[in-house]
Amino acid sequence: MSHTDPRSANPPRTSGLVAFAQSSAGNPAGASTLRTAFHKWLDKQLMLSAELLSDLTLAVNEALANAVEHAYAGASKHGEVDLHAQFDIRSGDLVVVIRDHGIWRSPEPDPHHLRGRGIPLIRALASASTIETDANGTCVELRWSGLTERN
Amino acid sequence: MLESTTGNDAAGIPDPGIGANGFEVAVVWHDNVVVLGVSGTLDMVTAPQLTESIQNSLKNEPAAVIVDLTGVEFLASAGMTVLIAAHEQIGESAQFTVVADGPAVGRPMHLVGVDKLLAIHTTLDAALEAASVK
Repeated sequence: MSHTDPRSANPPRTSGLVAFAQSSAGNPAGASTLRTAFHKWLDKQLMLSAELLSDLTLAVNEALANAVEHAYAGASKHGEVDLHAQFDIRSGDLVVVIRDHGIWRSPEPDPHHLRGRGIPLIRALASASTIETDANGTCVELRWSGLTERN
Repeated sequence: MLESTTGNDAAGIPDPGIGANGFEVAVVWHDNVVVLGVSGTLDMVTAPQLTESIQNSLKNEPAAVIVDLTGVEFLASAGMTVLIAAHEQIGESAQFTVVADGPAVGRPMHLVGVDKLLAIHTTLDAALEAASVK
């Protein structure tokens, strides 16, 4: 980097981006730990209403739960789940990527519609979302815009 | 009045996987109406404990089951699944109602239409009043 953001005294801020990156075991406890860490990061970095803070945390939780339930259920060994988030201070865009390294499993028959609320919740809570599955696993990308840095 | 609690806090062992808010279900009987007061984080880690509390309560054949989520600070879809499953299981054998309000609990259930499947009140008083009418 050849330039320095004049507003920032800290080297990590020179790009105008703040980032979060953490991995955990692909099980319920691991997902809960990641969600809690992400929630703390959000609350520290961004100026959010109680509703928006709750929305962002829940959307990320459902993507993590999806990774645990669908990609690792029945597997002999739980793989890792990666959570990466990047907030662009100038544009106000937040991008969150949740990646697992498992094999997607089709949801089991569900005559009483007990399950399957994770994806609808993600769609309702994020400004934009994409879910991509390939041989390496599943990648969920969540986007929000118009957010403000906490100062 | 019979009172008991189950939860991680009771074991006295801090579990970093649960999150900062912990989890607890306080079970209180008002005659034949049972109120399960849930507090803390209701996610895929803690949802099985709520299922267990509901199943234990059903053994005493309540006329009404009220799940009070007023003290819940985080509700995931895993928690909603427990409520829908209990509603399906109980059927006509008892009245099943949920107390929920606010951005962390009422809003997510509304977003995915769970509020149309379950009888939801915004306060415990309203839920108790509705239960005693029957």
